[in-house]
Formats: sequence, structure tokens, C-alpha cells
Amino acid sequence: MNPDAAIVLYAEDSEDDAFLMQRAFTKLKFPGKLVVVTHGLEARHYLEGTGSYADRQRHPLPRVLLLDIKMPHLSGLDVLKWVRSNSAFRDLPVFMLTSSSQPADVATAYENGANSYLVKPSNLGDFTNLVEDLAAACRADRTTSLPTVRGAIPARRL
Amino acid sequence: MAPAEPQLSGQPSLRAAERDGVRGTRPCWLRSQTDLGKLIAAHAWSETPLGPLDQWPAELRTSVNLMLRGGAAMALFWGKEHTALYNDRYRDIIQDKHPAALGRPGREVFPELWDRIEPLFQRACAGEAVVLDDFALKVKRNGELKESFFSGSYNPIENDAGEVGGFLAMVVETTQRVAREQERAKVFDTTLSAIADFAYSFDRNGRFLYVNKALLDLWGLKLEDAVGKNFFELPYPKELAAVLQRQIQEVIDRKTSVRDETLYISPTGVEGYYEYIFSPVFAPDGTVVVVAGSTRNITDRKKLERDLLDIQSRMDSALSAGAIGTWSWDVVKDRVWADRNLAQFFGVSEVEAQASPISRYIEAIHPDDRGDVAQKVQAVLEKGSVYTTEYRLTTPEGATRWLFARGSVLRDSAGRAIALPGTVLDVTERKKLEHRLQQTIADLENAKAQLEHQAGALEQIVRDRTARLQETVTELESFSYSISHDLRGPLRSMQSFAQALEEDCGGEVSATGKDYIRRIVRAASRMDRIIQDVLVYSRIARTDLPLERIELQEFIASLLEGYPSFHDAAADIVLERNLPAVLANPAALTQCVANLVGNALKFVAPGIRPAVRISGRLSAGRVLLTISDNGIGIPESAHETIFAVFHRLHTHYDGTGIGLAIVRKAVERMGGTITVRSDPGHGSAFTLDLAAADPS
Repeated sequence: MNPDAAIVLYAEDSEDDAFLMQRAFTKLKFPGKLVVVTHGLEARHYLEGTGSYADRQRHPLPRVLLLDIKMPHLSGLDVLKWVRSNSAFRDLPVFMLTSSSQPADVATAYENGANSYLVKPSNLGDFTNLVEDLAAACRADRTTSLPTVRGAIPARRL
Repeated sequence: MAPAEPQLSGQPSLRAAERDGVRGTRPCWLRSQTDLGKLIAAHAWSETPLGPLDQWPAELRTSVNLMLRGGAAMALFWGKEHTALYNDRYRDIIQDKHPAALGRPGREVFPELWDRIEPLFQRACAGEAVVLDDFALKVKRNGELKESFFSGSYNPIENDAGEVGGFLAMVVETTQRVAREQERAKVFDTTLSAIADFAYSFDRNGRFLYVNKALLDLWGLKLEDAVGKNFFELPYPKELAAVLQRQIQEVIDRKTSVRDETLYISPTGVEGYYEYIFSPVFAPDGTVVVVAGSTRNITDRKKLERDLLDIQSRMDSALSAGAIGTWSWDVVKDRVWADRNLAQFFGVSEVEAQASPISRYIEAIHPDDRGDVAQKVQAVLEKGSVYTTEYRLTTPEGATRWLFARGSVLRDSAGRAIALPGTVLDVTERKKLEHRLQQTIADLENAKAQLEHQAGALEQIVRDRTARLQETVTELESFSYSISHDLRGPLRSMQSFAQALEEDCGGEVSATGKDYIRRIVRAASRMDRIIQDVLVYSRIARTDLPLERIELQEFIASLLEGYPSFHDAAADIVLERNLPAVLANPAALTQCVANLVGNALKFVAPGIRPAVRISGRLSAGRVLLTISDNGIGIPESAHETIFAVFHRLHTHYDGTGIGLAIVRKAVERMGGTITVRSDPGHGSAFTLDLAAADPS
């Protein structure tokens, strides 16, 4: 395992979505690794380094966190709130990636410190764009602002 | 006989008289030693039409002696020229006309009033006894011409043959008395004018002699306009005037007063009731010379009388209807006197009603009320003055009657109750009404309570239903959330894997297979858009859309910027300058503008470069935001239907058929309207009518 490789932690209960994301990573030769967890609680365990994720060598902290919203056990928004309440992850870029474009969800996400809110692409081209932008975000210096992600819903829009 | 001397003044005559006296020719028949007696004796009578004294006829001599001896003022006017002779008292009247007047013709003695008295002189000389009664004459005395009054008589003097030689004037001057009377009359008028009553008098013909100021004021006339007139000639209705004239005549004929009253409306419109008395004023001989009248305005009293009569008649009708009974209780002797009504109430005989003990009445009272009444009677006898109570009676016919009694205690000087008179009112009907009213109130309160109960039940139902509705809405919301998430997930997978199939396994799929894949992708993506639009529509229709001020210029510019499809498109989108501010919901307005611009770019004829123009202006407190294009246009027949959900005008253009429905719903939810104008084949213009943020 390449220790320099950027980890993108993706919490997603849909196997299809996870597969398609992995496919785009592979196709684009993403300079890092996509780690998929299937619900919010697992994402939290990963970040906390608890349970099966205790070994930080094997499970290094991610460079970017991708969160679906509707998931079993702990929703994406709950994970977001926990992340932002934990000083260790205050600066961790968190992108919401969800099929919901409900204004309430968008607003809650931004209010709780999400860096971007993305609606899941419905064609492969958009998937590709998304992963390219993620790669840029991983490369970016954390002290500077993140590059914008194409197709993101801005904070004060529907 | 002395030669005649001119007779122009008194002096020569005097001289002639002295001369006669010197000559001692004094005739024996004239012996008066009065001043005038001497002067007459000395006068030069031969120079007058009377001739020398000794030749005077017997009747003249007798008359002269009578005159000179008489105590009254007298004068003799003798012969055709009315030659004047007078005594001392008469001299006092004529003052400085004496001594020139003696022996002179009447015309010369009284030149200033000759035309007034000559007719009287003539009448006297014709044998008529002329009476003067305060006869007014303007006499010149002591150089002063002054109105004077005289009473008296002219008495003709005949000779034996019955011929009138002259007349004896017996005169009293009444000037001072008349003046006093006039003064008194003035005081009298002033006095009568000061009183509010009318005072007046009539002569025997019923003509006004005097009217005081109060009555003149009522008529609006002056004294001189009224005096001498009768009622017919004054502002009186003919009928009233006739009555009054007849009553005056009655006073004169019967010599008694007449008292009456009448309604009179003055010429100035003052209406009043008047009471008047016409009274006779008697002459010494007992005839009526004047009728005096006085009148008093009794309008107020009349009104009181009418009111009293009214009350009286109502009282009478109440009494005769049997609703009121009266009683009087001699407390000392314990005897109750009752009138017929009261006796009837209590079923007491006429004999008993004259004197029965109070217990006779107390016993007749309903048992439930008896104790209370007895107690009240006792209480008021001991201490108090007024007694009031209500009680029931059972009439001889067995009916229950409600009575209201009121009485007042009379006490002697020691404070002992001696009598208790009072009245009893039958209030049965009122009691019935009261009872019915109470019943009605109770019914109403009952009904009110029922209504309140029902309203409470209704409120509970409404609360329950609202809660259930709320549940349903929440369920619906969660349902639509599920659609957005759960339905779109599989769809996205279908779409993506179809694409992946083409990308990853393209070499193994035939051209036909690739076509199928494209169709799957297209259908899935279309279904995704439909789901999204339905969700947007339901959200727009459902959620609160609070309005806020939006600067259209910056808002639309930034909106166009935010939609890559708009500025990337091979199209010309022109945003005009100076768009006004609008009151709208940002999310809803975004949806509207995005959909309309999207349509404008989409519905163009092939090969035509889309040209969209966005403009806005203020109009009567509203903002008209127009998005016009050069597209294919919309036939007029479709101007309404294009806004319906799932209505698609052109199947060969991509679309869900919900876009314009969303726009209209959004505009309506913001209190606005949307209209479309179109020139089919050349373009359309959609105008949103929204509230302006700065109406002026």
C-alpha cells in the first residue's frame, strides 16, 4: 500500500453507486485509493480508528470524505455533524454526494460545514468530471481553498 | 245823551261809563255792587246795539241781575251781535280779554275760536239749551293761545212773546281737571302696558276704546290703529269675532260679566290659549257705558290640564279595568276599608269591604306568601313608612292572581301607626310574562350550552382531522423524498450501467445492440427528468414561499451565470438594463426564469440561432418581467393548455410537459400571474406579473 496515496473515504449503501465510482477511479487512474464503507456508522468507525479500523497503517485517514445522505445506522448528515464537532477533522473536506436535491438537505449540509453538495451523476460523463475534480481536491493544499466541483449545488440555491 | 265815541277799545267805553256815573243817571234796576255790576252800570251802552240801560227789555234786566248775583261764572250774549255781558267769576275765566270784552260783539271777544263757538251761539239763540262737556277750545289769554276745556250750558232767554233775545252762558273751566285726567290716563296706560295680561275696553258699540301694550304687541298694531275698531276690523277669524262681539253685547244687555276662553293665533303666528273676562262699567244711572276686558294667556295651564286629563283618563281606565284596587286600614280599630276592585281580588263581600279586620285579607293570601306579607306589614307598622310587597291570591274562581301592593303608614304625633292606606296592582300578566321570559332565557342558555358543546366537539374533530392531515402531509413528504432517492437510485444504475455496457463491452455489441443501449439511456434519463420535475412541482405547490426583495438585474445575471447550459449554448441571451426590484421567493423565481429561458433556447426551428431577450419594467405597482424569444411560437389555441401538467405541445422536442406548469404554479404562489403572447413561427413572449419591491 502506497502511503502517499490519497485516500478518498466514500460512505455509500448502494453497491451500484460504489461500483460506478470505483470504475471511474480506475478508468481515470486516480492517484489514490477509494475506500467504500456501506453506512455512516462504519465511516465514523473508520475515522475514529475503532474496531476493524484500529490499524491506522492499513487504514490511513482519508484526504477527502464523500457522504451519501440516506444510509442505514447513521445518515450522511449525522456523520457530517460528528466530523465537524471533532477537532481532528475540522478541516477535512467533506463532499455530500446524494440523489436528494431537497433544499432542506442542501441547507442542512452547508449549515453543518459540508464543503460541497453534489447530486449523484446520472450519466458516466458526469461521473468522470466528478472524479477529476476530486483528484484536484486531493492534490490541493489544505490551507488554500478547494477547487470547485462541477455540478455542485451552491449554498443558496435550490 | 253823550255824543257817540269810537268803540275801538275798552278805554273810551270806560270813560263814557264814568261820564254816565258822574251824570248820576244810574238806573234803579241795576243795584249790584260787584266789580262788573259797577262797570256795567257805568258802560256807555248807548254806543252799543243794546242802547241805553234804561231802555233794556225786562228779560234782559232780570237776566243781568241774575247773572251778577249768581255764584257761578256767567255771561250774557245778547242780540244779533251777541254783545257780551259777564260777572266777576266770568271775568276770571276770560282774564285779559276783560275789560275790553264788555259790551263787545262775541265775534270780537273770541276771534280765535269764533268758528268753533258761533254754531253753538246760533243754536242757543234759536232757543236750544246747549250743553258743553269738557268742550275743547283754543283760547288766547294773556297773549298765549292754549287748549282749554269748558263745561256748562247756554240757556236761551225769551221775552213774553217767546222771542229769544240772547242766552245766558254758565261756564266752568275744566282745563285743569281734564289735564289731570289725561295725566291719570297716561299713568293708567303705562301701568296696564307693563302687565303681561291684556287689558282693554270697548264702547257700547263694541269698538275698542283702549288697548294695552301687551295686546297691541300680539296684534302687531299701534294704539291709534286699534282704537275705534271692532273685532271684525281687527285680525280675528270671522267666527271668533262674532262670538266676542256677541259677548260684549251680552255684557251691555245683562249687565253682568262674561268669562270664557279661546284659542287664538296671532297675525305673527303665535298660537295660544286665552282666558278672558268682559265686565260692565256702569254710569251713575246704572246703564253700562263701557265694557272693560282682561285676558290672560293660559297656554301652559291648558297643557297641564290636558296632561292631567290624560293621566286621569288612563287612571280611570286602569281602575275601571279592575287592575288597581285601593284600601285603607284603620290600624287602631283594625278595620280595613276596600274598594270594589280590591274586594273582588280578595273575594270579600261588599259589606265586609266596609270594615273587616286585616286578618280577613291576610288569610286570603296564598299560604306560601302569607307569612311573608304578615311579617312585612308588622315590620312597616313598627318602623318604616312605605310598604311594598308581591304575593299570590287564589281567587274565588280558583285562579292564581299575582298582586303588587304598596302602602304608606300614617302616624300620629307620638309616632304611633294609625292608618295604612295603599293600592294593589294586579300584576298577574306581568308575572306570566316574566315567567315566560325566564323560561326563554333558560331555553336560550340551554341552547347556548348545547351549541358550545357541539362547537367543542367540532373543534376536536377539526383538531383530529388536522392532525391526520398533517400526518398525511408528512407521509407524502417522506414519500416524495423516497421517490427522489429510492426511485432515482435504480434509474441511475440502469442508465450508468447501460453506458458502461457500451463503453466497456462496446466491441462485443452489434450496431443494433448499441442502438438499443442508447434508447435505454435516453428513456432512463427522460424518466429521471420527469421524476425531478414532478418533485419540483409538488415542492413549489406545497412549501411556503416567503417573499423577499430581489434585485432582478443582479439576480438574473447571476442565474444565467450559474446555468452552464445557458451561456455555453450557441445562443444570444440579452439581459436588458435597469430591471426593477421585485418581491418574490428566490428559489421559485429561479425555477421560473430557468424554465422559461430553457424553453426559449429549446423550442427553436432547426438551423435558427436562439435569441432570448429578458426585460422588465414597473407598471402600476407591479413588475412585468418578460422573456421573449425567436422560437417556433405557440398557436393561440394552446395559450392556456401549455400551462397544464404533462401537457406537451411538441412531441419532437425533448421535455417532460411539466416545466410551464411549474412556472405558473410558482408565479401564482407568489401572488402573480403569467401570460403569453406569440406570433407562431416568429417567437413567443412570456410575461410574469409580480409585486414590485418599490411600487412607486
